[in-house]
Amino acid sequence: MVKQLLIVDNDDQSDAIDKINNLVKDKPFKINCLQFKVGLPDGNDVIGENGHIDMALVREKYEREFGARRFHLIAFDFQLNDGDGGVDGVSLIKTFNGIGKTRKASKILYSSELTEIVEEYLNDYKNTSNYERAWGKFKTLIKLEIVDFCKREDYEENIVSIIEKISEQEDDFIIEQLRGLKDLNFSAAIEIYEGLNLDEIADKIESGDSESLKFKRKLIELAVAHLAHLNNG
Amino acid sequence: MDNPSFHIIFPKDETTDFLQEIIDHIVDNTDADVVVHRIETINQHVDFFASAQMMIPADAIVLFMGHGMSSALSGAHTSEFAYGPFISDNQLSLFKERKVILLTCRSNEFLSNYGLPCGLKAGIGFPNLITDDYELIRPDEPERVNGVTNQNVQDFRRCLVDIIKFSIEDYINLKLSFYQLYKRIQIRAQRQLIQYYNTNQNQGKLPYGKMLYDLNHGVQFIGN
Repeated sequence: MVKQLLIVDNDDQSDAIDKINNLVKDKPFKINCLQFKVGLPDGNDVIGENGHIDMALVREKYEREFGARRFHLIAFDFQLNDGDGGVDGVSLIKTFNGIGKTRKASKILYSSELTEIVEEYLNDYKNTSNYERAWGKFKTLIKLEIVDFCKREDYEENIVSIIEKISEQEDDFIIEQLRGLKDLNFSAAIEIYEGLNLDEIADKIESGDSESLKFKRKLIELAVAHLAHLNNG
Repeated sequence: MDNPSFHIIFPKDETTDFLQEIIDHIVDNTDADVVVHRIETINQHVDFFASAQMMIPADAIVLFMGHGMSSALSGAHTSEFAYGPFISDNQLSLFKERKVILLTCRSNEFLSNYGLPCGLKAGIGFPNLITDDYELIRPDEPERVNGVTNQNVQDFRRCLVDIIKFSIEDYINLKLSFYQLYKRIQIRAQRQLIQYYNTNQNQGKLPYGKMLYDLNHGVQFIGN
């Protein structure tokens, strides 16, 4: 099985990706590790006119670079170098949880332990006395269901340890099969997604299309019908 | 389990005479006790319903073969009947506590509407089935017969008879549950669908394929 990992950081993470690939060399699974650069200096293409990260540009870039791709784990850098009141890893996770394709992925936050983040939020409140802003940040942090927090210096090991525990998602195998035979079409017997090639059907499943459950049921139903031994069938 | 008895209600109608093969097959290939009620006249109809509850044992399977709609079953197309309602929602209660197979058009809707309220133990119903050329000339759902040929109708008759007769044979000889009978009908419809498109590749959806798809999709089970 190939587990899909995305690292979101403002600095290039090529060295970390090499380290992760090295760490899983002897594991019973592979990792396809990609990075998404957000913030200065290396992710400067999502900086808006006001000099801060622009979430609309982030969404556009994500769609452009990854489209319907699904990830098992997304690791977010907490500090995105966006200055006071700017975008950090928490607000980015909040945005990603609103995107259908990334909602289900497990998420971790690195470069700060939870205690450091809480301390920073409290300091912010201490300095500004802005209760609403501070409480908003805490609320977001509580609701995000982040699976782990870790320091930057050991985050590669943490990623490998977490992704190892993420079991295969129900659609992984179907999608892998469809992608491997992506130029083919199903016969019209299946009715749903008729006319689409297998790659396009995999896109539909990955994007959580409303018909995809019906399609999977029909696929299993017809596969069973085709393979079952039956006299006079 | 003893071999089940089958009470087959089969109103006389030349457009459904082709279903006789199902009865012949059950008789020739199983040891089931088969009683056929071939009803032609109003008197026979009245007599049958007057005595049906007594005549049909509680553990018998009732197989009705004829025509149908969502509100009633019909079928006798004789000088006296001409597709009048044959089994209405009220008369369906005669089959209370029994297992019924309603091999007619739209009996799936009929069962959904009346099956459980009438106290049927279990029922198998079917969707709209195009089994007569007349339906191509005067269709009640024109979009469903688009492109359907007379040959398609003949092929569908053959297919339907095979699906039902072999599934009932399995049900009796392999001592399956009633739900397994339903699944046997469904899997045979699915195999027909797969086979048809395997021999007619890269032509997109075809009218006959749609008939098979509707059969597979529309066959329904209620009860337990």
